[in-house]
Amino acid sequence: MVELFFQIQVWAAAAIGLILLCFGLAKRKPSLISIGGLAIIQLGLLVQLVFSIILVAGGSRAKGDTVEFFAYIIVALIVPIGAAFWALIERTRWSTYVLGVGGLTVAIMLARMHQIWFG
Amino acid sequence: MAKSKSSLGVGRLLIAAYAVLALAATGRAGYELAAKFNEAPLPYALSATSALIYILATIALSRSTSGWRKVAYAAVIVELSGVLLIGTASLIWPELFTFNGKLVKTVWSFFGIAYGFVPVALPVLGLLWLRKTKAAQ
Repeated sequence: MVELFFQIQVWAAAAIGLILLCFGLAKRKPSLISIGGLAIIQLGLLVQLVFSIILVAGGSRAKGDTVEFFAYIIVALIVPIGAAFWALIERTRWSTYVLGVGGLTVAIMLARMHQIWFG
Repeated sequence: MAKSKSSLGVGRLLIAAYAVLALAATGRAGYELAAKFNEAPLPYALSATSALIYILATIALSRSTSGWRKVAYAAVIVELSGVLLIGTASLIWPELFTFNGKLVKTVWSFFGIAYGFVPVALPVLGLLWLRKTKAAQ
């Protein structure tokens, strides 16, 4: 169940990141849709954080290092916030690329978190 | 005019890439220093050093005054030397990075292979960018 959620999250973040890079290529400025894409990723990360806290409180541990797992999730939570702020401050197509890079970064971090949790 | 504006845009992308790497290296180094520094002081100190250089480079590249440009040049050159030196050392002398029989990696090990070689590509792009913007002035 948790594993399936992880998989969906990784692929969703990667897909959103790629779509936003395409938006950038199409010279679109950041919009409610593109920033919304990152909001979806952020929501997924928050659900993941709550899930993980409940699991760890219930006695589960990562196959790797649990502390490292939480370090990743906290840093990952900063990425969409930073990218979204950037897009709000600078409303050019380059910010759309920044949003895309942010999405892909979270996807990579989630893949690494999956590795740490499941071994 | 239009051209210089678009090149500024590409520069923004470079700064964003630096910001991501700074965040990744800082997160990693913070965890390593807090949780297990004594296990392998050298690699973890190197990770922390690279994190500081990435933070400095991110800030310096986002400023356009001549003082900050010098800082940016210095940071990017130190970064390139670091990734080339540590990348080569990790290949030739793996024993330097072996602690308790385990190979401990740094951000710059194997030219940044764990980060898709971004650590070796970024300083090159950074130098090109700095040269290009100087020519534009």
